Amino acid sequence: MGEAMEFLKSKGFEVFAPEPLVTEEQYQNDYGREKFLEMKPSFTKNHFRKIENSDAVLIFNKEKKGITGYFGSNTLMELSVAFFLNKKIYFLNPITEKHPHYEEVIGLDSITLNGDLSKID
Amino acid sequence: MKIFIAGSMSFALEIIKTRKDLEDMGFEADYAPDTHDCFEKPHLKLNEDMDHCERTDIMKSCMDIQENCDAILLLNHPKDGTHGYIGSHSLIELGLAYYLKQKIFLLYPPPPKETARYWVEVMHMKPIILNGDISKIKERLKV
Repeated sequence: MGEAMEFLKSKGFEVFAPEPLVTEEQYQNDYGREKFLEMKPSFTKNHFRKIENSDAVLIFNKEKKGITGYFGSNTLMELSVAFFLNKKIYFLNPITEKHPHYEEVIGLDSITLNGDLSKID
Repeated sequence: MKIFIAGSMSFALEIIKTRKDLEDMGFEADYAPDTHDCFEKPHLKLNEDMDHCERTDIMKSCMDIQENCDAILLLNHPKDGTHGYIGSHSLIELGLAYYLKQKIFLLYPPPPKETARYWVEVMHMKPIILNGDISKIKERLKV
């Protein structure tokens, strides 16, 4: 995600990313589960604020757990806020029927980049 | 106070009945606009029908209704053998409720964290769990 940020910045976009820029698993390994649970509400609220202040949202859905274009429940909720706020929605990779949230996102008005960030206009 | 009733359309009848229960308690209540159709024509499986969802712009319509509510009540009845089941669409509604700073009520606790990947996402929003008794809403929400 860090590389994607740098790429988009180099193209002249202003970019906001989740903070901290590590997986939840990594954060818990570094700081413990209790700290993670304490911080989680502020992580979510800060991220909502970043969505408010953006024109578009990029879902960085790489393959994970054997699912192409995976994203989890947290991202699904962020997506709901982006949709509610009429933000342009980009998926880095296609969503397949194996995806746990397939039915919810397939009907969204979104743009799939097929891995190519340069398609963002 | 107005409450948005959310839940799987498998429980369309329960959603309709719950609206009446909440209104009897003095609350206003509303739900997804296709709830009656889902109840009256279950064989059409409208909630799984993408054409129907796109034609009626159902997600946007739901959000427009939810936006004008003060709280959300998720009817997370057992489904597919999972107690407290919460589906993807309900997660979307909960996420929006959290963003809109609405009070969040769950009819039942979510499935345990060992089995539900979304446990943290749901519990960090500090939902009020009713343990099956919607009359408890009155203890937390003024009419």
